Amino acid sequence: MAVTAGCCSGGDLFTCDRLGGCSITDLGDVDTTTTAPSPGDILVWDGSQWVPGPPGGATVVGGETSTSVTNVTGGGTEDDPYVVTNDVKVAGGDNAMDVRDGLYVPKHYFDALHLQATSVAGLVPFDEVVTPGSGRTDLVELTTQFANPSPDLPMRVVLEASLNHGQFGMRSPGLAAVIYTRVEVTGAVETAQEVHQRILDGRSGPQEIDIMGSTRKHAFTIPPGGIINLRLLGQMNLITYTGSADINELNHRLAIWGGTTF
Amino acid sequence: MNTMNENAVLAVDRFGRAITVLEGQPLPDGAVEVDQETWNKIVAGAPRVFTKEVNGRIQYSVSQGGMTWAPTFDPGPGWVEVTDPDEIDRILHEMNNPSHSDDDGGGPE
Repeated sequence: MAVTAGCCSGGDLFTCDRLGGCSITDLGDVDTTTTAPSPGDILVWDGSQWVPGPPGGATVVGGETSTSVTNVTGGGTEDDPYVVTNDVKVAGGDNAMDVRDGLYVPKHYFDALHLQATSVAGLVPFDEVVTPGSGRTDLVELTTQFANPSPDLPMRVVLEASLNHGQFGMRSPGLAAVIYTRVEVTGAVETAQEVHQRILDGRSGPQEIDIMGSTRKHAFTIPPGGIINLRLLGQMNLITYTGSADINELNHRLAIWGGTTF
Repeated sequence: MNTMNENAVLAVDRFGRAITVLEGQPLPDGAVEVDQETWNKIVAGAPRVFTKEVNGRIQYSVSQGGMTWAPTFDPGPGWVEVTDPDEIDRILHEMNNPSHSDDDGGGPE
């Protein structure tokens, strides 16, 4: 052991046997005088020399396993205590959860939306709904949005447009009409979907046609983080109208559902 | 319904999802604070019902799921939200249980 400070008596015979009267601070790389030790302190390495410090000050460290990362901050003192945090590591592949900015977040998303508009409520004569011969006319318009919340994964969705329960009571001949449900998609995806039904009455005498519905589906993909704007339209073209005919309850629907892909 | 944390702020995020944020913490971008009743409706997936008058006739609409409760939700011009629970039930029943006209033009059954 090398002792670099003068100590004791006896000239140059500095040996371990004669260090009983020395302080540990007399060692060249130890300093216990600049900061006096407190009860319970041990020597800790400050990067250049050994100084007094709290127990464990040099042993609390972070670590990493295959499933988590432990981080330690702070100096372990009363004024600067240790703060230990842990992030879960998510392996590659199909996980239900992901870690983003140190927080658990869902990795996969599923969502569904149903939007319905009743353009004709109750029993209404055709010519009160649309002026005969005026061409294809909007009866109702409704808007909303649908999102893929995932920042990383595309979302595969199915869009369904349907026309439901447009019931016609025709008490005089000579009716020709087409009714529509149209869905227009803009934003992250540009597309449109449409269903229609055509009614043509050339017979004499009263009749009733009860339309139970028409549906069409269309699949597409919303890119990561994408939002689409949906516009639901109910429309009618009353081509010919010669007398008494009613329409009872006309519903236009869209449904969209889907989830993120792998 | 939210009894997990009394210090939580109830909110709806920009995607229309019910969220809670610790009191004093900032809301996520696009989120807005909502009351307990609204938050409960969002969690339950409740629909929003609207009416619109066109040429003296009333039209109905209903939106459910997706971004129905998002702060940016806008059904379009002229639609007025129905808040009376009994009226909401009546409209939903009518929209989902359409009547038939009779053969003499006497109106719905």
